[in-house]
Amino acid sequence: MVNLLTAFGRRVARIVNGLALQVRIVLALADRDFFMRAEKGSFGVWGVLFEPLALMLTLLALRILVRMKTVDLMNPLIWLACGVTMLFLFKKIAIKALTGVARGQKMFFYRRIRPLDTLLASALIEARLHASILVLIFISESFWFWRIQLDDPGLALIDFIVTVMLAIGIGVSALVIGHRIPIVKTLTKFGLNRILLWTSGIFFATYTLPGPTRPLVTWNPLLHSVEILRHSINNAYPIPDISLDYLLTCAFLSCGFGLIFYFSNEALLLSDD
Amino acid sequence: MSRTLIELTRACREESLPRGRSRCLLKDVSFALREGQKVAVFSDFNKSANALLECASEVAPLQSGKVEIRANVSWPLPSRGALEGVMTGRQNAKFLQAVYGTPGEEYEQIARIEELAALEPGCFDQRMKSWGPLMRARFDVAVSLVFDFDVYIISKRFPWSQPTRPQLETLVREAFERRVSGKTLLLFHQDEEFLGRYCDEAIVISDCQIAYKGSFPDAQKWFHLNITKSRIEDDSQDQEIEDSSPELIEESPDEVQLW
Repeated sequence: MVNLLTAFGRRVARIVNGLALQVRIVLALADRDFFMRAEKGSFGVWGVLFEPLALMLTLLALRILVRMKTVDLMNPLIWLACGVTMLFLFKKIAIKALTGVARGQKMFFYRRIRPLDTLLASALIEARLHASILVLIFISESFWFWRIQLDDPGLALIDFIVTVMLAIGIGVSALVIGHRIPIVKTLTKFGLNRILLWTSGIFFATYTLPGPTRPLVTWNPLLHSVEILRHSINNAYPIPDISLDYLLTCAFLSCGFGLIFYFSNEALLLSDD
Repeated sequence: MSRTLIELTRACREESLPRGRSRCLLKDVSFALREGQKVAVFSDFNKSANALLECASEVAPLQSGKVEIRANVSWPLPSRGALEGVMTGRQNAKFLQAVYGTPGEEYEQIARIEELAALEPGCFDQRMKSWGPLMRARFDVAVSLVFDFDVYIISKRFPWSQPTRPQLETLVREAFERRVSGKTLLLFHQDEEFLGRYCDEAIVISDCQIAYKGSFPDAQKWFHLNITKSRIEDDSQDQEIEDSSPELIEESPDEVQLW
């Protein structure tokens, strides 16, 4: 019995040590990625944050100028920022996952660094950047109107994390399948760049769509993510046909499949790229 | 019986040459490195020995065959690796410390790298691309002596002998001895005294295959009797190819005094 417990304890310790090592590696890679971006960009460390922020603000300004009042229930800036930030976050993580293994090839010189670590590191840095952008816009808006409205911060946090998971899952799945069938990579890039932009609720609210047309867009889990984020800011914001369960299911399924595909093809990813 | 840490099974590796040609470096090599073994590599062709080290540390992929690694194996020390020139020495050291270092010893290990690299004051916090090639090579050596591995794979670039700076040579030798004591070693170097000092076994690679395996003195004798002559001819061919590639010259500071 004692031997069994000792063996079990050793096994648990090994798993915990392995996880701690992976966390250290992912954090180190994310820091390295951040330094590299800061060194290569024109504005240093701040440029890493302000370059995507400037891009988003331009998009938001154009949209707000075209149509000042988007929905009655929320400030149009926050309403649009929720959509644009989540779309950019998703696109960047998923597209980087598609090309990340080839770009991170140099790092695999160090045996401890696996392709998944580089993908997780780039997802981490994108998540940090986009979360900072969202918080910055939210704080600015709160100061401007001198009121803070965030009805369900827990839901907002869960929604954000699940969206990151979804992006990683879809990116990794497409990467591995795309390695076997290259057209999948091209189609995924096309889908991420075009179809998602028009079906993710960036420029419309689901409740404004007529009931029969909703299924045309509600298949898209990113729409659920965007709408749930808006709902978490103002609980009065209606979200018909939108559910966190659907988003969670899509995220877990894509992550699960992605990881299964990845672990059964890791050697192929390393040798081919 | 000690466990096998690295196992190559029917490993084949080729290198690409200009104009679509390729050259075989390893052909059907099967080799196992067990815990505690200290094995030297003699070879009639330097690139074959390097290929063996690279495949054993999984730095380079095999064309066919299999390599199984069941331990924390170093990269071929002191290779340049994937350090970034746009980052400072400290940032690169911090990155490698996170990957290979001991948790909780960040400051000590980074300070040790700084000490062993013996850079000019302030250089450690400057971008590595502003460093000279010797500073960079010293940094590579320092990094390779700080982290703990189960298996150390040492390439011919390791600066064992630095007669112009005896103090630093002693520092590096002490650090090296402390690191490899009791560890498994796979060593390829031009300096046979260095090989003989640390290895009790050896393999001889000839014509891309393992031609001899045995105790170090026997393998050394076998190598000199059967291989050395052809090696000189092959080395001149090898040199011709290296002469045409400036990148390779930069990558081979093994003949240079680093300190």
